[in-house]
Formats: sequence, C-alpha cells, structure tokens
Amino acid sequence: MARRREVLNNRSSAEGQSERTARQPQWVGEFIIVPIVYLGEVALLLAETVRAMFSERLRLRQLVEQMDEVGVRSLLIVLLTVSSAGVVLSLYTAKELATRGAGHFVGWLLAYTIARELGPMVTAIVVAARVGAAFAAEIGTMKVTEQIDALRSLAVDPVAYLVVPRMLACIIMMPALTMLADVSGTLSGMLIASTVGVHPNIFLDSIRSFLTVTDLAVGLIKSVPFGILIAIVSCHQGLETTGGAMGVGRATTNAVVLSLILVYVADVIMSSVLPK
Amino acid sequence: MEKNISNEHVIELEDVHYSVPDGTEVLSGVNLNVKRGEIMCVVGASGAGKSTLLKLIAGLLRPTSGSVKVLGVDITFLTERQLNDVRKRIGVVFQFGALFDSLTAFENVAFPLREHTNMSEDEIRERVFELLDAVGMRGSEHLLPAELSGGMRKRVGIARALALGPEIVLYDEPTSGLDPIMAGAINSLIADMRERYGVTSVIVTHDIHSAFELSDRMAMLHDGRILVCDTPRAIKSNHHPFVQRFIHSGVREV
Ligand SMILES: Nc1ncnc2c1ncn2[C@@H]1O[C@H](COP(=O)(O)OP(=O)(O)OP(=O)(O)O)[C@@H](O)[C@H]1O
Ligand SMILES: [Mg+2]
Repeated sequence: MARRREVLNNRSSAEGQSERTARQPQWVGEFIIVPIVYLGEVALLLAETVRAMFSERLRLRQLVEQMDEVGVRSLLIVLLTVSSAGVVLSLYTAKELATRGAGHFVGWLLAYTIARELGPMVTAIVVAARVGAAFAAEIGTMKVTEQIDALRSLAVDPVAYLVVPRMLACIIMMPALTMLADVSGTLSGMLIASTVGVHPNIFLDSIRSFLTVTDLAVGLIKSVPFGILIAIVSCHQGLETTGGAMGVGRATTNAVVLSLILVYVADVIMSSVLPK
Repeated sequence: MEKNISNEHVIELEDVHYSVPDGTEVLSGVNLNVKRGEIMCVVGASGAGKSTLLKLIAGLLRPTSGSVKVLGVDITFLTERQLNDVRKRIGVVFQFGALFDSLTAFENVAFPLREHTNMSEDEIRERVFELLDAVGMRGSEHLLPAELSGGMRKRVGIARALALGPEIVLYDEPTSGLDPIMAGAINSLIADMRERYGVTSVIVTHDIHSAFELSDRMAMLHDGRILVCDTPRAIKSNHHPFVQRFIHSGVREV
C-alpha cells in the first residue's frame, strides 16, 4: 500500500511539473493565475455569503457576539491609533501654519485628512490585524478539528452560521468605529493645536466652514467595503485551513496580509472614484 | 439477534473510489450494503480509510468515482443544500468528538435541537439531560470541551449525534479511549437504539471483541477494499490469512 502510494505520488507530481514547464513560464502561474484563482474563490465565498444572508434565518446571538468582538473590543485600540495619528499630524502642521498666518486652516486640514483617509484607513488596518486574525484562527481551528464537518453533518451551513454574522458585524461596526475614530482623532489634534496657538474656537470654526458632509460621508462609505473585505478574506482563509496547528498559524498570517493588501487596493480605487 | 432488521438497504456503496487531494487513492472500489436496523462494524488497520468511508456515507466527502446511496437517495452528486435533508436523518460521531469549542457540553447537545426543531427551552433541557444521562455525562453539562477528557468529549459527541433521533448513526471509534465499563455502557446504548427505535448503526472500531459481540455483520477494510463482509461467526471461520491475523492479534497493526 505504501509503495503504491509513493508511485502514485511521484507520477502525479511529475506530470504536473512537465505540463507546467511545457506550456508556460513559471511566473505566469505565480503572479497571474494564482491571484486570479484566489480572487475568484473569495468572490464565490462573498456570493455564497450574500445568498445565505437572505435565504437563511439570522443567528442573532452569533451576530451580537461578533459585533462585540469587532466593535466594542476593537474600540480602544482604534481610538488610540487614530488619536496618535491626529496628534502627530497636528504636531507637524499646526505650528507651521499658525506662524505663517494660516492658523484658521489647521482645523479643516486635520478634519479633512482624518475624515477622508486616516479615520477609515487606520480603523481598517487595526480591525484587519485584530479581528481578521481572530476570524481566521477561530474558523481555521474549527476546520482542522473537524468542527466544520460537524456543522455540515448536523445540516447547518458553515457559511450561514459562521461567515454571515461576521460579515454583518463588520458591515455594521466599521462605519461606527470610523465615526468615533474621526471624532477622537480630530479632537486630539485640536488639543495639540491649542498648545501652539490655534485656539479651539478657531479650530472648530475652520472645520465648520470648510469641511463638507461629502468629506465625512466618503470616509464612512469607504469603511463598509473595507469591513466586507476583511471579513470575507479572513473567513475564507479559515475555511480553507489544512494541516493542523501550523496551518492555523499560516491561515492567520495570510488573513491579515491579504486583507491589508486588498484594503489598500480598494482604498486607491474608491478614493479615485468617490466625489472629491 | 435478527429482530428489527428489514431487507431494505439504507446504505448502498457501489464501486466507491476515493483519492485525497494529493492523488493518493485511499479507497479503491468499495462495495457495501447496510440494511435498516442492522449494526455493522467496520474494522481495519489504522490508516486503512475507515474514517474516510464514514465521511463518504455522511456526504462530507465526495467519491472520486462510484456511487453512494443513503436512505434511498443517491447523494453522490447532491449539492450541500440538497444534502441537508438526508443529513438531518443521519447522526455522525466523530473520531475525536468534534465538539464546538465555544459551547458547553449542554449547548453542544442542544445545538441540533435549537437549529432544527421548534422545541421550547424546557423541552430542550429535558431532552438534553435525557441524552447526557444515556452517555453518563449528567453533571458535566456546564463544562466546555476544553475542560473535558477525550473520552468525555466523545460521549458528548454521541449524545449530540443522537439528539435529532436519526435513522442512521455513524460511529467513528465510539469506545476507544473509554474505560471498559463505560465502553460496555456505550455498546449497550448502541444495541438499545436498535431495539427501541430500529436505528441502523455503522461502527468503526478497533475493539475486535466488542465488534464480534455487537455486530450483525462485520466488514473488514483492507487495501482500499472490503476484504470480507459477513456475520461474526463466518468471519471467525474465514481462512483468509489477513482476516485470521487481524482477529487473533486483536487490534491495530497489519
Ligand atoms: N487530507 C489528507 N491528505 C492526505 N492524506 C490523507 C488526508 N486525509 C486522510 N489521508 C490519508 O488517508 C488514509 C485514510 O485515512 P483515515 O483517517 O480514513 O484512516 P482510518 O482508517 O480512519 O485510520 P485510524 O484507524 O487511524 O483512524 C490515511 O492513510 C491518511 O494518510
Ligand atoms: Mg479514523
């Protein structure tokens, strides 16, 4: 039996190799085909999730649990990160502008940058690292310990039970987190600005007169696709996990890295398409 | 022993081949029929493909070729959603329990009831306690799987598989890792399920003695095929050298 297996293995791998080298250079597979196949798989999971979202009953308990995980438990670190970005941004710009007599632009500059880019982006990065890793690790562990098979054997669709609540939680919580991040980032920027001569009243006036609803809306709108990407990519990594504890580790790392890459790409696309 | 067995085949495997993703053929032409109410033990060396066989019957894996019929339905090409109707009538006991980590023992057993029935919380409680009693796990219902021993996990897994009152139960080594008394209790539970509800059981086991005692027929998996499938008595007098070696040396190795 063992020998037969070896022979079979050798044959199939040898065949695969010769086919590949005969038809195409190696890089075509690695840099073109693999990403396309991967994106196709993610798109299929997204379609399946949307179908399950509308055709199956919603697991409210799972949804609340995940909203807690994605929203409440990420809040502190999101606020911290965005606030520190707001502080640094303010440190670099407020004094410079104030000494050149452009102090009344500081509030707008900060609020605009944070609302449009820093808020949604930093929130997405923090959530990808925290929540994406958690999704992939939890679902991946379920996969390698046959809990996914157990769900299927109990006639429960793993996508409806695991992926739908996670994606919904991300869709709901990402704009909420981004909103709070915007506020705390701007306020901490204001605090710093006030120490270098930009009075909070001037700062707030500047926001009131120059920042538009569109600026805020664009940032909040962006955060929804970010959330969808993070949830689907991480759940996909989890569901595709093989190979024990090591596989779970690999899935977790991949989930974070791939989520981030796709978030960056989506950010560039959306920033160029959405109204300026 | 013949009572409660009908002539209707509830599991029919025809020339089933199965290869794992890397191309290794694990099963190469399995033919197996199980009658309603029958207790069928599947034995074979470690790595012979017994767990794989159960997963094929449960529709968790798809055969590379051949056909699998369960409860009169050809499940070979069914989609996941179509499979669910059949799966509700089958219970699967996984080799390592496969309990849901985040749920307590109680919630694990209640899970299929909450998903697929309209039972009230009181009715669910009653049913779960009845099932936990049957596997000797009453009193540990509030523990998480991480707080249970291997044998305890397996017993909760059995309770969960029986929750919906399935017509077929597939057991993957239900008694391995249990002490002899508990193993005996599980064996009588399996027999009892047949006596009372006419449940069909397919049991993968390394415990050759229980297999002889419990089963109506035994199937011996060897080299990707069913080497023999017969009553325990006929197996004992089978002269095939592998069969003799297997039943005399007792357990795992070839
Ligand atoms: N995902 C996989 N990739 C590669 N090989 C696999 C995979 N799953 C199972 N196998 C191989 O399939 C064979 C059958 O595995 P299976 O788990 O069905 O054995 P088993 O009879 O249940 O063994 P045991 O009695 O030890 O539980 C093994 O030789 C194993 O190496
Ligand atoms: Mg096994």
